[in-house]
Amino acid sequence: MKKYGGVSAELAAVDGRKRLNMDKIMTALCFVLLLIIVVVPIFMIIYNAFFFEGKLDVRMFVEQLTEPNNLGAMWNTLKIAALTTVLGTIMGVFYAWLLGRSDIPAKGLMRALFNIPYMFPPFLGAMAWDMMFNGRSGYINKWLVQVFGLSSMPININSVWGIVFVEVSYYFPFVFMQVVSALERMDPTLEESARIAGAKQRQVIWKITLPLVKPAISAGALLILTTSLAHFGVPAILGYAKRIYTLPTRIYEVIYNSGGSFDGIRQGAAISVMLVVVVALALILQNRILSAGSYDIIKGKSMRPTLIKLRGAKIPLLLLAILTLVMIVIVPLVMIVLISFLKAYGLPLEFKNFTFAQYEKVFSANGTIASIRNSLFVSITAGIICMFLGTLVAYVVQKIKPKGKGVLEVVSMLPYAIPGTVLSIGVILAWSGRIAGINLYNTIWIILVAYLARYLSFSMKTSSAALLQVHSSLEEAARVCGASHTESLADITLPLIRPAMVSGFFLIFLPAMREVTTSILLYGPYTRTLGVQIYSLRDAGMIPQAAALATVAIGIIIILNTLVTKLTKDKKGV
Amino acid sequence: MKKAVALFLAMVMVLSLASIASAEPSGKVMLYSSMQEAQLQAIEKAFEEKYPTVDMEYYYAGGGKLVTKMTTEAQDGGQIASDLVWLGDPSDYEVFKANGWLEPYISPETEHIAKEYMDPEGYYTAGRLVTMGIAWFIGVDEADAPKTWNDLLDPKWKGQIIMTDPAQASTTKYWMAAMMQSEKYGPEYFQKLRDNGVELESGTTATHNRVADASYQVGICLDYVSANLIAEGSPMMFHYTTEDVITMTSPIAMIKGCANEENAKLLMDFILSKEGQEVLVENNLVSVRDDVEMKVDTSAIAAINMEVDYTELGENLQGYLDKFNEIFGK
Repeated sequence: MKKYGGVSAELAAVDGRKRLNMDKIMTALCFVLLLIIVVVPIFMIIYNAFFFEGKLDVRMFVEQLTEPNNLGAMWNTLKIAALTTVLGTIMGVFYAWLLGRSDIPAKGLMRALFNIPYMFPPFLGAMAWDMMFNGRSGYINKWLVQVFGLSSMPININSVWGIVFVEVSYYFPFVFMQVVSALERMDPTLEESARIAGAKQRQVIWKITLPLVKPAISAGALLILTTSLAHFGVPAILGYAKRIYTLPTRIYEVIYNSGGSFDGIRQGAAISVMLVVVVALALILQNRILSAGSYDIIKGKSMRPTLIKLRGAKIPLLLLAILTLVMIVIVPLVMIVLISFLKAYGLPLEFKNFTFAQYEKVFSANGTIASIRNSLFVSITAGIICMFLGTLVAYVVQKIKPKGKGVLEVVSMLPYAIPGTVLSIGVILAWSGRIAGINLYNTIWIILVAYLARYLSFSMKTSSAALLQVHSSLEEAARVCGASHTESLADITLPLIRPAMVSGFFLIFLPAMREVTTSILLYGPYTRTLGVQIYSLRDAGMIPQAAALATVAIGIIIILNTLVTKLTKDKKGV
Repeated sequence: MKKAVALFLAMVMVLSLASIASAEPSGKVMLYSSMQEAQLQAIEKAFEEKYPTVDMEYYYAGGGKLVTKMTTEAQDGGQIASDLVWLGDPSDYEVFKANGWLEPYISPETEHIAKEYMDPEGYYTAGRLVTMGIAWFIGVDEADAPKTWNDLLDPKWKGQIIMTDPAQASTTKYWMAAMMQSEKYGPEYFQKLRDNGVELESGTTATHNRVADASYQVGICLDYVSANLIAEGSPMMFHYTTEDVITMTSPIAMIKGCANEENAKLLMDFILSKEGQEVLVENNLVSVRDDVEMKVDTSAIAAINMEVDYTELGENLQGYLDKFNEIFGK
């Protein structure tokens, strides 16, 4: 996009110093905020991994790096993450195209349903899958054996492929949500002109549509990759008994093994640094791939895209979509709801074993209401702040392009690659009075700060992908017509990327509502979160009660989502 | 004259003591614990009924997470933000003590608690007893269920036994180390367990649920977790082994430099008192006191308890864990 540099420079000259100031202020603000939110806690982690009693000590790090168990876990982590990313991306793009661009019926409903897996607490989702397809005792496995007279259980979810399958069904919404909103912003005339020029439907998709939404696809794919690399719940539940370890399960093992010595935490931090390096490499790789072309596709003449008629393929594709929905959304959701009605975990799913007692217990327990209130507060606040901060960072990176923009981008992505426990250790070390006397410990603000770090990459990636699609000629046109820089930003750029910002908000709000691994070390006596509440029930073995609370949580998320969608008259909710 | 002065001084002391004793306790007290929430809530309710002016707060998380939290808080000379700590595994407390995190306190209630359940210097005192035993899915006949640790090596259970990964749960870690330490079992026992197809789960509760959902017929399980699940109606059963029972004391200790020392003592006394222990028993836990009535006959269990050398255990814990990991190919 360098060729537009000349125009920008001329505009800057028109403005005199003003524009420069505005850009500088935004850039400086980015650096300062990221320093506070991200760099300080990560620095505390890295410092502790490499320094011992104030001296540089790499021995421990090298020990961890060459430990065969860690290398084995590293290999599993990479394998699972790579497979999950490829399959999740394919699935996300396919369904985004089907629901965004074709004339398939019942789109709105399907779109809402496709995002539901993203709201499950992963341990419950994994548990639902495990109950169905456990290689030893899965309900559906047993049924298949009975009906078809098989000699052994047909499907074993407790395998690398099982883990990949469950992760794909959670994480494909990352790509799905991104691509749906990119398709909506895309200039349909590009596709139309290809068609007029005689291109076949398949050619239009491959040569025009796909390349145009490439930034969105790659942003989503990167989120899947980072999430899967750092994910603990699914491999822990499905892989443990079969001794399939990943780096995050190793990190937790090392840390919890320490029994009160800081060495364990240091070792965990060292393994986390390995993870962070992998993610940084992935980021650099993605930048290389993306820099191959320019992607401004919103050029001001936008109109409603024409829907592609599926004709004969309509019914088979509809059936495929319904089947997928039933398989990956409805069945696990129903499973969770059914478990929530069980008297005790392990009883057969029969009517005589059902009860409402779990819901009564959930609502009569101390703290349930407070935890819902706390989670709503932190998730919504984190969602809103991240939405603006992420957009700010994305704008600086994509449009202002200051020196060190690569640093900004990498820094905002890193915290998500750090396992929740390690991140919260960094946050505690940073914000419990050791630095400048700032003590947020045991308050809701320390959870908020941690969430900002953890989820910033989501909104940054979403807004970034959207901004890549906005041609700078639009802002320049406004400026030529006499709008100030601020006006062109507020009246042109922001409205154009608003759908992406809103979907960025939901990408953060949904998982934050049931987040556990970060908040479990940070919550104080009055700042318990919904995730902590669900976790402690599960930890006490009260799986049906945990399922009941999770059902309540999913219900709250769906209601809120509908409300927000109605209020903003924006169909970009879930 | 001297007598009079002495008498006067004694009177002053008695009066002032009386006035201290009668001063209404107030303020807060914080407890870090890995006990199940329902039990913590029951204690909170009973304690606040007795001392309505003291606000009891607790922080609940699994043992590993809590130790991580405390370690992070204490890093660089920081103060642990709690008054009391009550976890499952006694060997953790040896580390806490060595780290200088604990303040010794011998509660008057310890009169009714056996000396083996306490640290000789008073750094910690058992708050409840947790015992490892054997649980089985109700599909298995009670008469067939394994009764001793060696019964688990019977080939009829091949591939049907689940246990918690000792690296993930301190209670199982303690059990494993005690077994490793004993001459009767030792590392060979775990090799045989492994050869009999024993599999590992990532957490204590997960192990119990695996037995309840019949993924495995038999599990190496904890008494109170099983009791709670069975009380809810889970399709599983539990019993103690008939020999070499391994019991953990789940100690409670006061944090050095804590903000509410007086209230901390008050809460510790309450938990160790007959009244407090009865609250635990109502919640399927086993009391450490000799004067609390229970469904479980603790003296019978104590009679078949396996000898454990705490000092040796504390010193070689990591070595045992490494050995276990080696055998289980982790």
